[in-house]
Amino acid sequence: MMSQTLSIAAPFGNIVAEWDEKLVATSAPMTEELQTSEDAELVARAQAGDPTAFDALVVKYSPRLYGLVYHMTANHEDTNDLLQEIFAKAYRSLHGFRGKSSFYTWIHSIGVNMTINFLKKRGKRYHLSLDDLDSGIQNDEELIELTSPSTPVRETDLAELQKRLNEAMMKLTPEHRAVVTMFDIQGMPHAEIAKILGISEGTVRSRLFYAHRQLQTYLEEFH
Amino acid sequence: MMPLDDDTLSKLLKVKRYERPPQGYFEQFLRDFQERQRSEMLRRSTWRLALDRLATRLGGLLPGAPEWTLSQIGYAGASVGVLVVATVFTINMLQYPGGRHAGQIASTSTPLMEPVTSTASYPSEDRFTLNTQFRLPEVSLHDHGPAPVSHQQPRYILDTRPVSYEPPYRF
Repeated sequence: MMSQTLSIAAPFGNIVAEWDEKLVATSAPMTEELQTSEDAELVARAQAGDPTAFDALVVKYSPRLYGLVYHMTANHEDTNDLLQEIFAKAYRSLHGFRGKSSFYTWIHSIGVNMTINFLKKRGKRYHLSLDDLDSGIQNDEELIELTSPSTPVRETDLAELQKRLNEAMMKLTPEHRAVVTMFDIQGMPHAEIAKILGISEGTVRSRLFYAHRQLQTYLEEFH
Repeated sequence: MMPLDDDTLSKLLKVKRYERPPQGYFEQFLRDFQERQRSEMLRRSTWRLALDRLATRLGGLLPGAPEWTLSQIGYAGASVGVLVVATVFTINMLQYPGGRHAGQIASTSTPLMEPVTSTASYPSEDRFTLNTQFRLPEVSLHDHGPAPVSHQQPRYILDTRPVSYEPPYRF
């Protein structure tokens, strides 16, 4: 497993943040159970005034939250600003966190709600500022299959496909975009999405169904 | 043209999983966040810090209450405190305009005005007309002490409320 170690001068001392490929992945599934125990310890330390504990939570969750916000805004700069706001709000509110839900659910709730509010304020005006595609996409078997000579996708440049996908996503409402991002891109189960959004699993499924129908219409030229 | 099926849509959306921020982005993000935290801490006023502490204490008293509720209670408590103090001072000022001692002197000293036509101890309602003339009493510079009881004139200054309604507490 590839990993990089980075020493960072923290305001109250030095911490060593370990950047692991597994964590840097912005869309890899991360089950709630695996996170709960170590998060609880970090949260308790941060609540007791240990600033390095909150930094560790930032290191752990920034890639996931970056993915969540980025796929909803399709703009790198907006994502960066929102991510700063999300962690700042989480830090300010940390003393009110009682552990009724996991930190994972709590921080995702803050992230998704702040992003939805941002998108509602922004309205229909948007400017795509897309991240580059990772070179690993060339080795993805499912995508190789999709780009077989018999499908029109083969004729389409990947960058163009990326742009059209993002444009199609931007046509969805922020709430529908949130469920597509969490389910289809980040691979979260329905139950987890329901907890994060504070809605029932049935509503999650219904939003997904509607969002998929819309995306299928917007992207039908790829079939 | 046939619409996309769910499977193809799912595969297409998978392309988005390969979108990554520039290398070194997350390291820089943490540095920026720490810098922001430091500047925010410097900007936070004493008032805000006191409110936060109040909210934290209330949090200890009311476990499980959300943060916004605690903040609201903090603000409400501070507002009520200010209102109570303001109300008590206002009541005090109305009862003793110019201060407590001034109020005591006013109750025993020479009245500010007396009707020229006054013949009885207390004027009856029909003696007051729009033409009733008043004259200011002659007060010398040395006349600060209370007048003797035998020369006391009838009082026409009306108190804001009867003495019996005065609250039992005083500051």
